[in-house]
Amino acid sequence: MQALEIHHKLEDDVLAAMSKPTKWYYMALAASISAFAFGMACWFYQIMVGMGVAGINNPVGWGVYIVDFVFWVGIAHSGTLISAVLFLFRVRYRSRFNRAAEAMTIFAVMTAGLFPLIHLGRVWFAYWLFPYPNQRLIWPNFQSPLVWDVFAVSTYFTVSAVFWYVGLIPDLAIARRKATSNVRKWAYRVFSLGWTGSVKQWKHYNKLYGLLACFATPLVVSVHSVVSWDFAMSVIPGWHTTIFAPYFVAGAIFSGCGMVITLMVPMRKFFRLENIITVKHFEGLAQLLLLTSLIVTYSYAVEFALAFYSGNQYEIAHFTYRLLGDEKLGDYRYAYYMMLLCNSLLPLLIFWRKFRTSIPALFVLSIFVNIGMWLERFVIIITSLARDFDPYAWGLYKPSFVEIGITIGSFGLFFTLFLLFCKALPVLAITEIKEEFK
Amino acid sequence: MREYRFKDEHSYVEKLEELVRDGVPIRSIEGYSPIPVVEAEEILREKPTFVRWFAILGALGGTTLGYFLTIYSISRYTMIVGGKPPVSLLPYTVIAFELTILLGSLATFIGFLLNARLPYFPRILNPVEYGDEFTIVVKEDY
Repeated sequence: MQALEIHHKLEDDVLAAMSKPTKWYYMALAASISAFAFGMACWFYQIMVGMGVAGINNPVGWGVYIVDFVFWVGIAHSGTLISAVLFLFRVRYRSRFNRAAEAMTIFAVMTAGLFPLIHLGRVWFAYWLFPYPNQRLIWPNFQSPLVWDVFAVSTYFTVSAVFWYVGLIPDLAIARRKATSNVRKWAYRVFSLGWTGSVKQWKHYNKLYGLLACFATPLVVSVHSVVSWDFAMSVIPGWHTTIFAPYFVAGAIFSGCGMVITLMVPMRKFFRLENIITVKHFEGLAQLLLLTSLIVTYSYAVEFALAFYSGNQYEIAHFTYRLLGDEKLGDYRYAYYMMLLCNSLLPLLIFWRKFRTSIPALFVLSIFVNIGMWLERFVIIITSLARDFDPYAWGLYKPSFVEIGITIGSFGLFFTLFLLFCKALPVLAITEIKEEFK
Repeated sequence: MREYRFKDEHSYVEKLEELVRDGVPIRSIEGYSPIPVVEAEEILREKPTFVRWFAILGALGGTTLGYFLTIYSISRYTMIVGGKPPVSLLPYTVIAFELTILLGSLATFIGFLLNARLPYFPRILNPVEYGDEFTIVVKEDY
């Protein structure tokens, strides 16, 4: 087949995904919106009644809301990794996943950004987090990791959004040409900015894309490092450790790759993109998943090694509790075992070629990875707070109905945004894939 | 105005070379392609892009703003937290780093828009579509 014919077919196949939705799409959208509405209702209930309806209390003051925040920021990570880092390394399978992964990044950061607000209780005072002098001329404490987090997450969101939009410009010009409805045609005209694909425009565009990749790469590393310092800068046993930054970054990329597979497998099937996204591409992503799983597993081992090698009785007691639990007071050890199963043991199946070339198997694995990574954040945050220094203050935490409802709502929001994206914008980077078929 | 359309990159590059060889002034030739073609930039001797200068200036501006914001704010109202020095450069570096990336990226994007002359309103209102073809437009006024 000639290059031009391939280009035509590629455009038609990708843009076909934006055509009239099927009943399956409407059903998925209705389910997602319902879940989101349920979460919003729970949040409204919490605002009206007070924070008492959440399970967080002494000693566990950071509960599922912070678990969800870290989980969604982690999910956001692989988007920019796939876009920027794999771009700089010229990894070929990147072009099949980058658009959806970048969209996933933006929606996941938006979802994550809600949780500090939900956790605040009095959400109308959220602007206190931002750097401005208040009535008494006191600025936020810039030495606090929580303020670093505000800067890191908002920078990450902005840069990811710019990167995503820049990648979309040439594809929006294609969509503008193929759009049938007037509303879409005008929307694509405006957002493609009058792109013509002239030699001059491509030259500046390529420079921009490379520079943005260079800016985004250290950002990928920094954001989850900063999130990890929310914990590691404190002196709580189980949190106060130097491995946290690389451990969190690897975990974030691991969970993000898991979510990319979870989203891309049904998307490929329902939008009939099997000829463009092949098993070979999924195999590449699976290998990245395996690599990050091994790093995460290594970090689990190092955490224990650091605790026991340090000789610090609180650290040793904490990690013993995490592993063996406490029969009298109850514990979270089953969450820890499940986490090990999902994040360390099951991904080892990727070593087996037959497994990593089976798309249904990878899809099932990715669901386990998502569950495992949520549990990892739960184990890290909750077990440390439930049993810190003073046995008098020890206690157990169980998420309340409202917290579970808001968590379900966050998944609803994320999937709603992703489903809307699938129908509004090209789901694959058409121009980048075209470059492979010159 | 003359227009040449090609189905592949190779013929497009060959025609560009031929036009330049035949003495057509480079400023009269404009090439359009669905994908970037590096050879076309070389043949048409495109000037180096200034986008990287926007990146550098934006990044330096971000670093400066990060340190200024943190040091200025603590010097306005010195509040000692955790017994640490009010001007603690190490934690402030985190803020400076994030602002370096943020302003660097935004300035690069603005630099691209200015250099590529986007948004280009005549083309938004009346887009010229070359589809998947590689096109050369030669202005007749040379």
